[in-house]
Amino acid sequence: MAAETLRLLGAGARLNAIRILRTREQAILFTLTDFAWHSGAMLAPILVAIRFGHIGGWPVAAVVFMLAYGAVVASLMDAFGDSPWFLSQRIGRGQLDHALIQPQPLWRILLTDAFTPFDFWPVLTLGLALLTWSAVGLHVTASPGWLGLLAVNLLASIAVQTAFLYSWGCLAFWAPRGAEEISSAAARLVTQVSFPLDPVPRPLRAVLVTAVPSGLLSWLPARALLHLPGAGAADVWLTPLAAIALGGFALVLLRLGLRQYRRTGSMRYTDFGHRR
Amino acid sequence: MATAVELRGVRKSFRRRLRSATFAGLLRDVARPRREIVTALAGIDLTVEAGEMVAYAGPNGAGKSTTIKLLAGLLSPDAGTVRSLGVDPVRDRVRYVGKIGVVFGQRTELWWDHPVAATFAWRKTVWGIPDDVYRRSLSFARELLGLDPFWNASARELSLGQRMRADLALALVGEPRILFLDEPTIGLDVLVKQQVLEAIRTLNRERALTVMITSHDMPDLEQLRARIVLLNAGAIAFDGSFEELRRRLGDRRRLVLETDAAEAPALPGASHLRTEGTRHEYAFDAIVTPIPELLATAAARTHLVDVETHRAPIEDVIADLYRDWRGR
Repeated sequence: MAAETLRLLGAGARLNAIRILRTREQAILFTLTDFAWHSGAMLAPILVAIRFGHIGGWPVAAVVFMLAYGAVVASLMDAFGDSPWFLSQRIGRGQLDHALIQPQPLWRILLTDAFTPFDFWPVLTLGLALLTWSAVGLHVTASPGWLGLLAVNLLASIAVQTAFLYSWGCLAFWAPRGAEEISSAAARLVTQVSFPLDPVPRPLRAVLVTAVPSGLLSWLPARALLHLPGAGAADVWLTPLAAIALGGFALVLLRLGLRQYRRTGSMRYTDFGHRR
Repeated sequence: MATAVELRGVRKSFRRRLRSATFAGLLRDVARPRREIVTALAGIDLTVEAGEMVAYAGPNGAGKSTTIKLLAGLLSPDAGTVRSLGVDPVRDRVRYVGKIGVVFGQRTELWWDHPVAATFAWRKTVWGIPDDVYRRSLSFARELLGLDPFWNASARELSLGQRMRADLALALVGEPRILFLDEPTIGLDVLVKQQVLEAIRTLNRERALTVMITSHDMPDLEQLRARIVLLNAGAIAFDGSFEELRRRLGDRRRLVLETDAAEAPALPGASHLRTEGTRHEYAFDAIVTPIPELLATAAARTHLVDVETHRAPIEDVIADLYRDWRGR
């Protein structure tokens, strides 16, 4: 199963490499602007933290760690392209049919067919570099156990965002046109937080780690991994647990949605439905 | 001969939401949504043997594309059974779709921003096609459909005809056992259409590939010399050869008279279609009104300069049939 997935990721990587080599100028510009956008988004909170020495009790290095963690999550998701996350567009544009006539399980197609590993490595590199720098600055003991927990939390954050996007995206199974853009709207709703959420009122914070789980994409895992004030010993497992719960919910919706799709199919095919 | 496709009592209907055109009506629709049931397939039985070519035709909304989608594993029937290559296309989707080729005329399987060649290489990986089968089928498909001139062009740069040839070739890579073609000639110019149809005939004749093709273009389907299945309102209205269909519908003919008068003479047993100058065209059924009898009547009523008779185009025959169906 893993070998087959890697083989398909390889096929996606080849397509990505071909596209970059054929459209070199565009690809370079795209990569640079993406890098500038991500760096710029990180810079503002870092400058605020430097100016005041901390944000909400978080030292500068911890703020950098949180932002770097978020950048790694975002860049890893971007490496798989838009198509796995924007399910509603696939449904609304009649594009899911492309996936269903491929002799592969749907999850593998969604995961691999827009794999673009060469576009987003600068942001990933920046995120990893800042993650390392801030961890050293905070004197974190990077034991194998801690690194394992970091990896589990990174994967859990990705899973939380995926589950959130899929839960909303599945609405398009029942309203293909009306909900075609709902995945994009959901993606705009659940964005990385730029500042630690500790000073935020408790009820709002509760919303940001449940209904709109932006807090699970960097803030809560960073606080737990760095053992900052307010973090309990078990908090490091909160994001993975949330990922399991939300993932299960999204999976049920996806199964119901696919059953609905088998009943109704896709009634239209738009110009935006070409394979890209 | 083995059975390739078997549909038994297949029913499929869709719910369509009705929407008003007025503001008050739209408000009513919000409070009390109205829906109607559209029956795409009303319990059809169909068997296609391996190596057979079946032309699947019918007016818009007859259920052609729904059948192809059922057979491609994209839809489930409401009732009845769908078996293709001995399996249920939905339940055994992953295993099954690797053995079929599907082409939808109005969409493309080519990667839009990539060279045609890249999509083929991608398909080899995703379909898990062994090297020898890939080399053999690719070389055959490239030659059959003449892909070399645009092999390295991006799909977005291709003309509609080139795109369709590439899509058809893509479906052939991996040597599928059945080819489902949904409107593959839609929008193509005459030359490309001929090339695509000839390729489909070659595949069926020389490779014994089972082909199921839908089209609105009856002359295209007649040219394939396939078994024709005509659908009407979700039911099979005819299943047989084109010759049999013509026989069943009568021997519809056209008579063109060149006379010395601008007024078309009235001919009992023939209906006047059009007049251009002194040239008058009629439609008639040669079984009901024999040609010698009609010509004798014409000669008695006007001065004939020239006479032509020919079979009515299959399109006209089918159009008459569709009109009959709608009128019922």
